[in-house]
Amino acid sequence: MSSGFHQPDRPRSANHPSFPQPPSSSSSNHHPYLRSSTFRANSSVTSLPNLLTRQSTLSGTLTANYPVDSEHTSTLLQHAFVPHIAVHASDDTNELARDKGFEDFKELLRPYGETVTGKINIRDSQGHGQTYDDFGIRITGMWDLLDDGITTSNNGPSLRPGGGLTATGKIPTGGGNLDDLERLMAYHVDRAEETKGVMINGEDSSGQSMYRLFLRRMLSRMPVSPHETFTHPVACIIAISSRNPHPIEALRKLYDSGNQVPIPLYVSRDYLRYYVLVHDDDRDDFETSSRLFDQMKKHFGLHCHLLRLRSTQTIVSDDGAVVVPQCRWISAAEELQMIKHDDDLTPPKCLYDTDAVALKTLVREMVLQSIIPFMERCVSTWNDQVASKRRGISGKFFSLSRRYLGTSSSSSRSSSSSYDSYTSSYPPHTPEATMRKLADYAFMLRDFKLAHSTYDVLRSDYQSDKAWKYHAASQEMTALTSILLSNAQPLHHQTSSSSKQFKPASLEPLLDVACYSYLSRCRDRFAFTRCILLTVELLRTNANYVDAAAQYACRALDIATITLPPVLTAFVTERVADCYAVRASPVYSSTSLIKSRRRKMAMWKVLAAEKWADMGKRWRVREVLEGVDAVYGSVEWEGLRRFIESLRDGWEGEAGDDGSETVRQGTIRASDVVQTEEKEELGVKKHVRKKSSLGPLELLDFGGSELDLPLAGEGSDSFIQS
Amino acid sequence: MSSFYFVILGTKDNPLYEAEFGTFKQGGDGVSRFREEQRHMNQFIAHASLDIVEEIQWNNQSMYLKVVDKFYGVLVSCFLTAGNIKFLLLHEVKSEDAIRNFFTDVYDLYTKTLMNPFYSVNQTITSPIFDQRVKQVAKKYL
Repeated sequence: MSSGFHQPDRPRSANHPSFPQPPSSSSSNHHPYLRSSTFRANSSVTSLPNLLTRQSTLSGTLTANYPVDSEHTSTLLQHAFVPHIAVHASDDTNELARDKGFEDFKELLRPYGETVTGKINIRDSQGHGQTYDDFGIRITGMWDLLDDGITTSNNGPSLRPGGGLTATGKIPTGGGNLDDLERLMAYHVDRAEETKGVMINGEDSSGQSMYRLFLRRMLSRMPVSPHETFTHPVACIIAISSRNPHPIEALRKLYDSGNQVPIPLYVSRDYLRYYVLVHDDDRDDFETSSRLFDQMKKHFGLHCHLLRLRSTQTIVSDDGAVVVPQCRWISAAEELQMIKHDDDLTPPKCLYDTDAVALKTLVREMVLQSIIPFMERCVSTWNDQVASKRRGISGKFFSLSRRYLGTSSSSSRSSSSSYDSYTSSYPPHTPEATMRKLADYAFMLRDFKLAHSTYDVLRSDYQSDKAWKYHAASQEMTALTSILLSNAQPLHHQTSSSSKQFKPASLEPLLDVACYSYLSRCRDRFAFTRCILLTVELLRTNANYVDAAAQYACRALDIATITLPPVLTAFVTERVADCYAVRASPVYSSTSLIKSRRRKMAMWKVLAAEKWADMGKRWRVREVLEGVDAVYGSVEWEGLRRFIESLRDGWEGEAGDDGSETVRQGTIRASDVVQTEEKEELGVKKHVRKKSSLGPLELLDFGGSELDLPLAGEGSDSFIQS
Repeated sequence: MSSFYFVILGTKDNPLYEAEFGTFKQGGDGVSRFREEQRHMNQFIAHASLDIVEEIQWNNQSMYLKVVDKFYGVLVSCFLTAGNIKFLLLHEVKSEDAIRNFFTDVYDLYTKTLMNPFYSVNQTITSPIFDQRVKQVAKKYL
């Protein structure tokens, strides 16, 4: 259990992670006491070979001869699970953003948070630094926490009702809803049907890229829930603008009101506060703002930033205007809303070049100087003070004694456990909740080793408390981190017969329990789907684990009738084929030859095509079947071919109205014709079915095979009658 | 009532002989109960399981490879002849010994077919006698 126990190398600091305190209201209002920060930005410059480059070189050598979008899948999780930063802005700041044509300050900041420009150095629990250039954060509103939050009730967490309004009276836009995803994907499929796969606005409508979009939408704006803390805010941006006549007073008020936002109880309020002064370059005097900012700096230390923006609205034709990038991580509901309001008349949002640079700088400085050090500090403190007690020999005794006490009498059980079964959550300051937070922070900082060992310890705790959702989530993350760790290992480590070698079979018990808990105990379809599909994506990156990946994807399909709506089911079926496609050609590894899985791939493609055909999506059928001919074209098995023809017939029937399509079909035809008379015979049958003119040969064939069954039927009927 | 789908595949993945039958055990009448959509799937499942057969045939000494693959509720058992002809049986219930006996007897029948001077390897087996005998073997063991 304590296999990966990492005592940090750095000296044990007695400091708790400290948080800037509110200006206490007892102090004078004119000169409120603003506590200065104790943080120092510690940016380490150790440069070990970074995890990511290793991973990419590994997949480069291993997956050289087959097409995998491994770059996408291996980093998908790292891009999806990133720190969330809440924004709490004053009214005048939001007004400034509105003047610029944005909904509020959060929307102005949001696109720039998704990728932090430049390299970011992160220290892991061992004190080794790693440099990443693809770090990102998510900007959310303070009130979104409330809207996206899962309300907890006695009967376990229930998802928010589909059509209702949120607590703040808005149409819900949060993620974590399979029905929204279904609607969105159905829209994209339909659009691909209309455009016949022609790229529009550079959007690729192939199955793979649509599936990628689906995954990203699934992982966007995940609900704020008690059992995982990824979506809980790591920090809160408190923003005021230079328009405010009483800036210090406003900051104090914002601090107080930020604390009073009724965010769910399980969300810890010990987040970092980051203060931003937005200076209006067009209206206000920079001297005044600068003086104010100096004052802020004196009080808050590093955790503040002066953002210089122009307040006038920008249009494309302006000098130095740049188009604001699209948010990539928006939820399905948000995209659906965008589609609904989408008319070509609305011009793209623009900002002055200087504004865009200023926003990027804000994000980068905040992440580099405040958020990363803060999270590192939290991880090391919690690791020292909470987690280390639970690992090692004493931790084992502790959990053992707890377990035995728990079974001996129910009263001591409930007293020893801090799990609140009424709200089915742990209060944020209990060791269990803190450890989960530690593991999640470590995960977000990409220290998967620490995360893995912490999740592993947590599993048993949650199980003895019967905190099923927590238990399932920790099982899920243990499995995911173990795959991530194995993927990050160099190739020769994988093939060596070390005892710690990762095997997909070792995931089985973990995921079994997780799936069971998610589905049966918690009735959370979304969490179940996410768990399975992420496992599939991670396993798929390694050619050795393709079978396991496909097996898990099949499991998702197995219970698809209760979990997945039809379009998503078809997509997942296609994904199984994609999993096998990773091994479409044999792989030669050092120890053995791994045979190809091209027939499996072809079968799943046919299955997916069948699903699409049932829904009448002919374009998808065609695209899916394109890869199939290479396999079935050379097989002289009439039954197989006839079925594929019948699937194809579905869309060929209506293809005649489009000239370009028939040309395209001609090429497909020509490419897969290896066959002889059998093929012709099939072609003839097809014509019969299409009620075209009948030649003598066709008539012969018609009588020979097609009418066999009806005749027999008649015969038996007359037999019965006589 | 379990149903069986039996196929003999040639060296080029081409089917030499296909048959469907139901169980005779527990009062079965020997008629297969595949649904219509299952029927064409059987062929795809059999074809796809060749990937697995090709992988494990090199790690296995015996000709009877037992259950090689499964697709939801359907199990695929395989018997590999000396001439790289594959016997595949799709079944729903696991019964290794019965299937082994079935395969051995069919192998016997197949060898006899092979000895026919008018039959060459990879040719479709159209003989009604062969069909009849296979069904008899099925009745005996399955």
